[in-house]
Amino acid sequence: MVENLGLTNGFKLSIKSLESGLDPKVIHAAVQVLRSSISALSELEQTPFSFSYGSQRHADNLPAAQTPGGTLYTGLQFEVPLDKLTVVLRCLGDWLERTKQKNLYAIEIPPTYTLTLQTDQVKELAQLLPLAETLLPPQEIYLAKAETYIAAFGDFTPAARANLAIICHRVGLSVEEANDLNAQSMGPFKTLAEKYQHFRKELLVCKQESALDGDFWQVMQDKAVTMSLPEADAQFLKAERLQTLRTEVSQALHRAESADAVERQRHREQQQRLINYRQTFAELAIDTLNLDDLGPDAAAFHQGTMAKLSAAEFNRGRLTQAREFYHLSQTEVDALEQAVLCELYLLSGLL
Amino acid sequence: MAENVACLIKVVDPQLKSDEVVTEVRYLIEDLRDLDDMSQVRFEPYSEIRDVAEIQVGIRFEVDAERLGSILRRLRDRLYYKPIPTRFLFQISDIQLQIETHKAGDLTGLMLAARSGLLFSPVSDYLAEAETYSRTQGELSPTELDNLSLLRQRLDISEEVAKLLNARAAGPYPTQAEKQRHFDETVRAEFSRLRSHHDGQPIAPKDIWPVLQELAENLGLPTPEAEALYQQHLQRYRDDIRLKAEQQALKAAEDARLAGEAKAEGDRQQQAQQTQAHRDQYRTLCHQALAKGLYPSEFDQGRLDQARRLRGIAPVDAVSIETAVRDELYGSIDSAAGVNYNRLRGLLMQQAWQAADLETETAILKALNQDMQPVTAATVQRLPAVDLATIDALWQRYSNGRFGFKAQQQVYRSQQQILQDDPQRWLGFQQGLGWRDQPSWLSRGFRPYHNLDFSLAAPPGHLPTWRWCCPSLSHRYSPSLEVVEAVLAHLNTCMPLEAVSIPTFDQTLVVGGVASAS
Amino acid sequence: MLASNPRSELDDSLSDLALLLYDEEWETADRLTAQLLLTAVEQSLFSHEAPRRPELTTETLAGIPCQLIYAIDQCWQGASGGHFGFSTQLQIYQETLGSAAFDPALSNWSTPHPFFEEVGWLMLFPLRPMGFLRFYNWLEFDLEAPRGHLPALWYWQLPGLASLRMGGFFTGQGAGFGDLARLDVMMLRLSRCGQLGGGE
Repeated sequence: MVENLGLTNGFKLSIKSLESGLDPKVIHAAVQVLRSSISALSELEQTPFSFSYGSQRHADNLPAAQTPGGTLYTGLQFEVPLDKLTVVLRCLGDWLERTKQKNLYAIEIPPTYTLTLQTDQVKELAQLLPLAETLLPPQEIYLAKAETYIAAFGDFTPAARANLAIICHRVGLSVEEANDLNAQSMGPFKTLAEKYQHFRKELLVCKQESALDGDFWQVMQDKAVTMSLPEADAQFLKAERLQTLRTEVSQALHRAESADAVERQRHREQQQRLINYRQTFAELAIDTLNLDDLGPDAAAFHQGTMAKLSAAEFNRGRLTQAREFYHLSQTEVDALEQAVLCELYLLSGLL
Repeated sequence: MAENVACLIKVVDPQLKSDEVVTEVRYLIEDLRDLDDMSQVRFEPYSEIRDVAEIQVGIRFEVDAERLGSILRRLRDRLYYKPIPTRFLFQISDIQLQIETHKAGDLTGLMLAARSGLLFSPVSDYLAEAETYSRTQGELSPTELDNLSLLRQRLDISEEVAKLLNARAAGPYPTQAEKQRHFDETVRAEFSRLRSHHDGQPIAPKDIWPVLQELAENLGLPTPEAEALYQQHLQRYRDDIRLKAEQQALKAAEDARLAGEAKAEGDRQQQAQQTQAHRDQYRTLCHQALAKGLYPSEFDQGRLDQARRLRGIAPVDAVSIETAVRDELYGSIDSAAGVNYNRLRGLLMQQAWQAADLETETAILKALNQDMQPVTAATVQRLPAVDLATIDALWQRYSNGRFGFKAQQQVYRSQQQILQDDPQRWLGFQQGLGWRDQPSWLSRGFRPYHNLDFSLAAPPGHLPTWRWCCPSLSHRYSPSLEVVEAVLAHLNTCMPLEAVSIPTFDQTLVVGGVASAS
Repeated sequence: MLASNPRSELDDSLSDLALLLYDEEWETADRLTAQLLLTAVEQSLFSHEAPRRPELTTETLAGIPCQLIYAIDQCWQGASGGHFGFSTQLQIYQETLGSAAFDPALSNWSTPHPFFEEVGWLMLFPLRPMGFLRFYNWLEFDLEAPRGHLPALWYWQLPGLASLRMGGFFTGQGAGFGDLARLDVMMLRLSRCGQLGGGE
């Protein structure tokens, strides 16, 4: 009747109304209430339910939606993890207290136990709880729960520890046993921080963003499973590594750019020095320029101007200082001066 | 008093042949009969049609519930030695329990429960009551405890057992308050964990509410109540995070501002250093240029001019640097009276002593600003100390300490120590300086100004002369005693000599001795 | 030093002097020059001494305002083209000091100060080589006179007793030996005022 949901650590619970004199709609409503109460419990939102229908129809496997109008629920079955037994039975107790209807309760605890009870009494239902608890395999329940937590958080959070302590108390495990089981579920590392550290170290192997995809990541995911590192954390660390890689790349780019900029700046400064010297020289040359000296002979003009320039000690001093200031060699200076004189000659030819 | 348990035990091993099944059932009966007080129990055969024949596959019996512990133990032991798949069915009051197994271990839990009485009244009745109370209220209220106490007496359960049962029903946190506290502490611990991760090594974000909800259910706390508490903590946590982020943003902004300021300050300093470096370079160049002479050559002027342009130094600053360097190299020419001592310095550099003496007069008379009238005892005090110091320093510098006011003061002091009576003292002072010869019957010893010695061979303090307090020079160089006294007093005020440590009684001894000797 | 009212009088006198010199009234100009100096002495005496007849002694000559000396000199220099004036006399005085090995301490009637000879103040006859100075009215009041010949009255004008002491007979400096102290004081004064670099 109830489909096997693949939960090895689950128990099956089926409830069936035994109220024959009651309005079927009331029973239907009660079943709906129960279903929503169970669904509201933590981790049970996704629990699949299957329903039984009134005796006039025997379409056991047809869902409610496919039987429009006519069919009303008379019971339901579902399967939940073993550690939820207490909570679910308490939920049933609350429900029975409200509905006061007589039901058949059947609890199947795999692989061997089946508990059945027909009652409309809360107290009788309450008797099921201690009995059922005694039938539970304590270590398995505890371990399953611990592993669930580790799979989700990679570590025992305070809330997880509190829950495990309560389970430990209910199923009667000693602290030592519980610790053993904790260690077993935690895997090879003692804390989440250690797992992070190790996984980060493994990720360091990857030097390029592109390498973090595909096969490498597959291997890393397997590693995460082996070391009980939750998928979410693995993804988090992957994102972190990607970020680092991207930052490194952009930093390298930036460094290269600034090195370039330094080189360009140096070159610019060198150019600027030449230009500045040229300007100084041009100023002086123009000051000493005598248009009367302009003849057809450029060489004579050069010689004349240079002679006049160097005749004035003051000008020689200025040029010497400029040359020293700009760290220019005599050859550079000569070339510049020649160029300026040529230009001047051409310009003055235009005048 | 004890209720009965209806039991059905059936061999369900499909591998066993019919006769083997029958044999097993027989052994089973024998085993159970062996137990104490089982003799009067009736074992009814339970038969099924198998292979067309009806065979006995199990037994049915009813026993006192108290017996169930030992029966289960025997059954478990059997399975332990011979794991034959078997179905066990127990009817305890309205509850039916069916076990189908071949493993001894599957019976252990039930066996232990039976032996501790958990399965049957009165214990199970009591426990059910306690569970119910605990479930509905979340704790055992005083009224409920009273009710349980009554029930305990009625069911004849010992107080110790009742206490254990209460504890079992109520769980590790028996009261509502304790549950709430425990839940609150756990939530707090969860958030402090999140906080520590937030502050330190970050981890993947995960929803913690499901586990807390589970805890609330496990504790028997109503979910809405728990969620409200959780939301409170969550709100506080988020507020903290936001506050911290805001503080960090503020701090970052502040840091950025400070860094900006530091950078601006650094830039300013760098600029200042740059400016300073430029000035230093210019100063070095000035040194080079001025080392060759008081005034730079035309070539050096060109160099300096270009250097000034290249280093962006204002002409005014360039002049002040050059002046400072010149003062450093050739002596300072500070004046409080606006007198230019440049010419005096130049003359002294050239060792043109007589011209320097004349220039000294001109400078002093200009400094006095009395229409070039000679200095008198009344006006001498108006000569600024700075100017006197400048003149003294220049003379001293270029005469290697031979000339200058200080040298004259030294001479006066040495004379003063020997000669105490006034006229002799002044005569001694002037003679010491070489300004006057020994008076004789022929002359009073005065020398004309142009007969003074304008060379380094002159006696210490010989120069500069005090011609600036003489109305006339040609006839004789003789500053009046009144003025000499005033000038010396003024010099002593402006540039006192270091005190000579001669005890007063020694001085009187010396003076007395000299006086008697003379 | 000079109050505002006397200043305007002084200005008038200076323009008179300039006019006289322009008209080549040399002697009148010389007399006005001496008068200007005496007036300045008088004004300086008035301020802090009992009033008495102003004289151009070593003491008073040393205190004549540079401004006045400068103004008077400017007039003489301008009118004579540098031939007459205090600065011309100072120049000659300094030249003679430098050139001759002249010892004022040993100066006497037989060796007059070379300055007197240069400016032509000595008696030309019949008493040479005695170092007597000319009578005032024997001086030459035209541009033919030697350089620095004028102004002269500031030097000649002496009180009677002083004149006697210098060998004269109530004729001022005339026919007496040159008073080297007065000459030197005046020249020193001129030299010091010259350092002011002309007018204030």
